Amino acid sequence: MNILELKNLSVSFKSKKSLTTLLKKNNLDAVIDNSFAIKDNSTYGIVGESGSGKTTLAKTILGLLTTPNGNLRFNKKKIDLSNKYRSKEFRKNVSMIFQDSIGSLSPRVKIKDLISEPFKIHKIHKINIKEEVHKLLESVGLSNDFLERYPHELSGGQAKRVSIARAIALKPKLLIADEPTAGLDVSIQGEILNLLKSIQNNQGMSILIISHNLSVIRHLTDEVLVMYFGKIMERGMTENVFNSPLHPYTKALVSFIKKYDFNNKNQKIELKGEVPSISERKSGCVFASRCEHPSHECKEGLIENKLIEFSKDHWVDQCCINCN
Amino acid sequence: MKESLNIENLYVNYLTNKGQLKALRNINFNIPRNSVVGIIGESGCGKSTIVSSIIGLMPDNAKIEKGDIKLNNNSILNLKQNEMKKILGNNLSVIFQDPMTSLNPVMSIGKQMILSQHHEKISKKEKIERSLEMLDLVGIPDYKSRFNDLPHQFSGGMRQRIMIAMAIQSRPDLLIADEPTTALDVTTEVQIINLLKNLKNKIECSILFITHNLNLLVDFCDYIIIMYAGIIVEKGTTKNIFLDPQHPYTKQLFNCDPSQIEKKIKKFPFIKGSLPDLINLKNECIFSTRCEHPSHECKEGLIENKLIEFSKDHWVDQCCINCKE
Amino acid sequence: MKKIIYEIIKEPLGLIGLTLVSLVILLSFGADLFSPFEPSQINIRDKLQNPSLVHILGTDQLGRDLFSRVLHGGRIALKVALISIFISMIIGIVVGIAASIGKKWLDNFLLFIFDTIRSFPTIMFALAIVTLFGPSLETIIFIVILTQSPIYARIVRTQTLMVINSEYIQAEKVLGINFMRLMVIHIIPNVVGPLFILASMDIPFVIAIEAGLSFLGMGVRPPIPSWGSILNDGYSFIDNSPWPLIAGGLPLIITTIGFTFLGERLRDIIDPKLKKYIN
Repeated sequence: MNILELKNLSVSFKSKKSLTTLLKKNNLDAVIDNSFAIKDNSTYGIVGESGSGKTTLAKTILGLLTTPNGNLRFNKKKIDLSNKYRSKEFRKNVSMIFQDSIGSLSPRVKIKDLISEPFKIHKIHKINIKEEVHKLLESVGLSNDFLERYPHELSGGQAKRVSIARAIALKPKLLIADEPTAGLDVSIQGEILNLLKSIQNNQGMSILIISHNLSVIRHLTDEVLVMYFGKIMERGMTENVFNSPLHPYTKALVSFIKKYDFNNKNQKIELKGEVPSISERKSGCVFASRCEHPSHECKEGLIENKLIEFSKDHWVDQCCINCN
Repeated sequence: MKESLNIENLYVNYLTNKGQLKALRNINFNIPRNSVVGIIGESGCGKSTIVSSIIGLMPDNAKIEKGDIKLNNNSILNLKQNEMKKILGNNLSVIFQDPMTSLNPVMSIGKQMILSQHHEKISKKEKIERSLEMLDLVGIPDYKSRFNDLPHQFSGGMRQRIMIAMAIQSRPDLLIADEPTTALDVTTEVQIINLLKNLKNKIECSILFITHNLNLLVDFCDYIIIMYAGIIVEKGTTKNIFLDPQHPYTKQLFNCDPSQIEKKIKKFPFIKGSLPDLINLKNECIFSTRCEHPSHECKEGLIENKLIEFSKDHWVDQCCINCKE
Repeated sequence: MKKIIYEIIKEPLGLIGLTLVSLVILLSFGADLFSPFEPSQINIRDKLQNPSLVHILGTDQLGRDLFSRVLHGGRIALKVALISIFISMIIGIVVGIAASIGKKWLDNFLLFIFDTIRSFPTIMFALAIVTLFGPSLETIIFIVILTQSPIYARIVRTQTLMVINSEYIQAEKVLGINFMRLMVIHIIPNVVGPLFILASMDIPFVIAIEAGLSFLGMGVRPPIPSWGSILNDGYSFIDNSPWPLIAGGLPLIITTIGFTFLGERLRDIIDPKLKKYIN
């Protein structure tokens, strides 16, 4: 059963009108034709660097951005993407933890009020809110001392835990985590990730992780998709994608996280060039400018990006099937 | 001179309203000529303090309690500002984490590159030629036509390349790179590190490389220094430390990096406990509260932190030699 | 609240400011309690006396006790200032938020109104209104509200624009928060900080407007005491006695210094907190 189904999602922004842009396209395409599905009780990963559109994608699902293009189904119910509105049921069942853990907590509100906020917003009076807040705090590994504190008095890791407490308060079916390990020391990343996993096991929830930290994605997710410049380059079961990457971009990303081998020193694949500017989007394969051996069709811009099923549950962009 | 940089017995404190924060204690290391020395450590370990001590740009409440820092055998620790200025951008260059705030946003990069050559007594035309040469060397595409562009017209990776170009222009003896790739995408990170590798061979300078990324450290550096809460816990050649880590912090740090784990795991490793209070320092080993098997001497605070030579080019803090595992 | 007061008096600037302001407020609102005489009590025999134990600041040309007049004048001054600034703040918050989160045309229209009002020098504006509506306490309050609201609204608008796109507001929206709750708990508290600083600095300005108008005879009508009218009388009788002038000028100086110091200290306290939040 799929908790979330997204089909053909495209999101564009209008650029500021000026003399120079009058002649060019007015629309900046951040996300182009993305489709994927997240199963119940599973962990899904979205890998991408800057300019990939991964944050825009998450924000559109949550209604922080709107688009006329695309179909979204949550728990089998159709969601109107052209509207910022989401039903109460959606809001209760889809929550998010943001990249900036301290910045995503309202600065003049105490921790105890921040954690009880979901209950108050959804007018849940049946339970003893104070007790629930204590339970939540304990489940994320924080003591009751934190109740009276303010966000700026917390460390990055503590603020992350508070954000998690808020996000799981109403036992959502899907938790979206945007760069959950950003800003955390390696020695404490593990605690946060273990916390997410144990909550998932206890409550039965799906997690969508957006990250550029591939080693975390590799260990944490069941399925993954790799985004580049707004399009999906490869998608499938995490094990397949990481063990047998098909797309040159994925191959490069996977090469960065191999355990260092002193006998085989130059393992990291260096891609030439950079992510192009969003205002200079051309037709044809988006990755052509960085490919080592672009095929003739790619160089001429004759072939467009489209995911095709290479093997069971392993999809890759058609441009790169042709390349050698 | 065999060594570009020597740091001897460095102790640095910060005066806070809660007392003296002992940020660095008994720091000793050398950077041999033409080598890359990497410092790895987490927040609060003191790596930023080391950088600011070397370049002489410390906050008002910082005090260097004792020790010495020598560049090419000349002490630079207590130099006056105008003397330090002669060295910075000349024998000693620095590149920082965020290229956006290191570059002047309202001045063209060409002009900044010319200005950064103020030590050189050559004509402006020669300075422009040199700058163009540098921009080409660091791989800026269309460098001639982009000479007068402003920083915001370049991507993060490009800006970092420009910073590198400015830093190596004067052929410094030592280049300090303080987390130069932390704010960049991983694909750009690889490009920058490969660039630094190439340049180091061409320019023949030493590099002090600060990072928290283990993969980068092992890939790029000849020597590694592991810091924890203001002290060095282990140092030596990359090979020695990576293949045979001795200190429990080093071992746990390596274990926690998910990229070092080959098989897919269910539970992520982490280091329990938290950083000690550097204001109210106790006499015991600084790592004893987080050590898996602290020895009797460690728990009783009978033994002090001090680096001893474990084997050739491999030094470890003496507390952990005694631990049994 | 206690924390804020502690922070204020930590520095000499704040201590002096808060002390002076408390003194002014206490004496003015307790004018009836602390005045030894009726402010309008005329006693020609005792006119233009120097300060003594009976008349702390001396008497004016009609023998009225200057100290009592000053205290009652202070009550008028503070009443005008506090009421008008309070209402200006409310209007500023409502209009400022409307401008920042509403449609672009509304924002442009409101900004146009703000700038138009602000382009008039305040005193000229005040004189024009007084000429139209006649001098009275209500007119002064109206003038202040009209000229000061745009300033508050602009500040609120800028602050709201900064806050509305922050990550914590997005986090609240993701929880499904409704508009009123978002405004009252998360936006307004983070937006009004600079407003209190401005208000504190504005109070002396407003008092000066009232005093200025009263000085020109366009403010409160005699025999209601106003620091401005006391100053006016003092000006006329300066050859006979300097004390009415001093009596009129001194409270103005003390009040201005007090509120300005307090405002400066508030700004120092609120600004670093803002920096922490932004970082």
